[in-house]
Amino acid sequence: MFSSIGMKNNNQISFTSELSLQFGIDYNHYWNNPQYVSSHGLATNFHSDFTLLSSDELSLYAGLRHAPFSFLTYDAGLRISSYDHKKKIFFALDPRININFPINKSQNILLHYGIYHQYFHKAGMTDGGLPTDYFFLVDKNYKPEYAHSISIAYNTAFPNNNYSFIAELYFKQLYNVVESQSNILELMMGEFNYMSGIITGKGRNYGINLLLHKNKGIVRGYLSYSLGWTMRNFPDIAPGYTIPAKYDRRHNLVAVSSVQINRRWRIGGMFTLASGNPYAKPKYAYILNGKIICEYGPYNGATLPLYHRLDISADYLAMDNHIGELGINLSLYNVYCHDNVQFIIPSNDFTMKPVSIINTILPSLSIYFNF
Amino acid sequence: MFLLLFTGCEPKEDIAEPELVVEGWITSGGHPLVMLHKSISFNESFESVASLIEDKLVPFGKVTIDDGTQKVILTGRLDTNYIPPYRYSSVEIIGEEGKTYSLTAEYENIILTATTTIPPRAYFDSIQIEQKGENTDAMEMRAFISDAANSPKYYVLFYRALGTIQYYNTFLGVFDNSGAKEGILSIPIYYSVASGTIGQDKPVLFFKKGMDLEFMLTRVDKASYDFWKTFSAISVSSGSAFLPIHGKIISNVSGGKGYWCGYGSSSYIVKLRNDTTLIFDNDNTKTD
Repeated sequence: MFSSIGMKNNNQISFTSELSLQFGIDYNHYWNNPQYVSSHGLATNFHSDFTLLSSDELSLYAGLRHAPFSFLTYDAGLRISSYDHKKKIFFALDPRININFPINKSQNILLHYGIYHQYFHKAGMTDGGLPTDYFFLVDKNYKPEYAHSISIAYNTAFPNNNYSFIAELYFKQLYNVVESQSNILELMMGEFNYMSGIITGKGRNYGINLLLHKNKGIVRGYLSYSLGWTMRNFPDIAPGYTIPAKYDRRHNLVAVSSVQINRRWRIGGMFTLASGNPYAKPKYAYILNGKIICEYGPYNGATLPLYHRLDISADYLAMDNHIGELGINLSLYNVYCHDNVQFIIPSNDFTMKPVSIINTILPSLSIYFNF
Repeated sequence: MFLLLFTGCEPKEDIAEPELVVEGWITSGGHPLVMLHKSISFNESFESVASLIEDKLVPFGKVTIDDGTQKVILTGRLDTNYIPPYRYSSVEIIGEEGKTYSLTAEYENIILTATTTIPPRAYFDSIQIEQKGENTDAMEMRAFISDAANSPKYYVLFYRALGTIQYYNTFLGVFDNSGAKEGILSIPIYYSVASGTIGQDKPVLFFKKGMDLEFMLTRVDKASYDFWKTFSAISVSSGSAFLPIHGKIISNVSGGKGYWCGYGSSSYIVKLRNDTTLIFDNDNTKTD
């Protein structure tokens, strides 16, 4: 369990049309019970103690927006944060700057640099097929994760803003990245300690994002393509930035379109084509004591098959007046029932078994009312 | 030219180089028993699992045991009591407590070596047997071992159905004496939850009422303990999509996979009928 409650005060002072200052204070209180284990039917009926941890984060921030020249505007800011968990206090300074170079009315180049701190960690049993990710708070043993982020983007709109195009190159260097190597066997027997298998390391995310947007007309939508690397360096597993992160998706192509047929009817569709996620591929097996033992290749060293999926939807606007908007939406997920492989496991007959969770069409019907 | 290009682009499946795998032990008062096979690549094609296992047998290996005073070459023969069904043994060597045994296995330019020692025998004082409830045939078992815990001792508990030959490790049956209280070590006896056990479709934690069993309690050296401890954890998770696979088996074998273990062992026949406590006179314990 992870939850938070917070307060934010934001103020803005405009000195001139070219110069404004934004400042404020942000407070968050976090509650976290990282692991509540409950098991039935094994050696014991086991329920772990419910231990609620809490922490506080207080931030002061200020940002200056300035357009000194027609060819340059910038937005510079600083966030000062403090974090307290059981009297262990961390401080951080997170500067950031965005510099915008307008080339003309329809084109600009944007540079960005920033440091970002995060006061909770997300860890997961990386090889488990189940969604075993969990959150835990920064404490004296596990320092805040932080990242240096740098990017350059080019924006253009043409003609008459009917279309827009964005290309972005980015690089992020991450520190204090965590991952779990816990043994679920311990969990099953009630001896699981979520902290016991945590390993720490660094990360590098880099790549390019391309986005073509159609903003006007009966047919609207966008086409996006991302080529990205999310590499991790866990010295306990392998030296260097050689390990793809669990959610590394090298290529990702998304096409989204909607057609406004008339005032009441709109249809849409989304097609996704992406690289499979990385996993540790079984290499070979052998038999000991009547049991099949698998030996695996490099950690996250192989990728699952290509992922692709088509979703379609239809919207009917039943009512649109001064009271509000009432509509019905019918969506079909995975229209052509593709078996997208979630993981590949070795089976007892010495073959590789691809496992797909949703290999059928999933319809959904919703009624919405906006007022 | 085009044909060459297309041939060049055809994806190649990696077939892992086969590893030589040894499974071997020597008990106090028993003869050495060794099995050899080659690892199985997941990309190999085969007609049936039985034919695949048969194909991986190593019937022409050379297995030598050195007990410090003599070197004996073991002889091999088919034995369907084991998987894989081929074993090497010799009546010329009988396991003795405190003695060290070195194994060398040679096959197709691969040489495996391993060394083990047989520690003093381990004994059960008693085993408590209790039916888990009226509506179940699951039998809960707990064993007690006298252990002053004045020095580290390592144990592995095996079981087999009475009348069968191959022993299997019990679930969580690999333990040391760090948990001993007032000179008594108390351990639960579980069946198996391993998903990858050949011939066992689903995991079962408790032995069942009506079963006739034979338990072999063994004392092992630290290297053997490390092997069985990691093996039992990996064998539960191996092959399951839902369990992590980070761990590696700590093997005492150089040049290949597997284990070569000396067991200071005692065997006990247990027939699961009613709630009872079996108290053992260890002078008359059935030994293997």
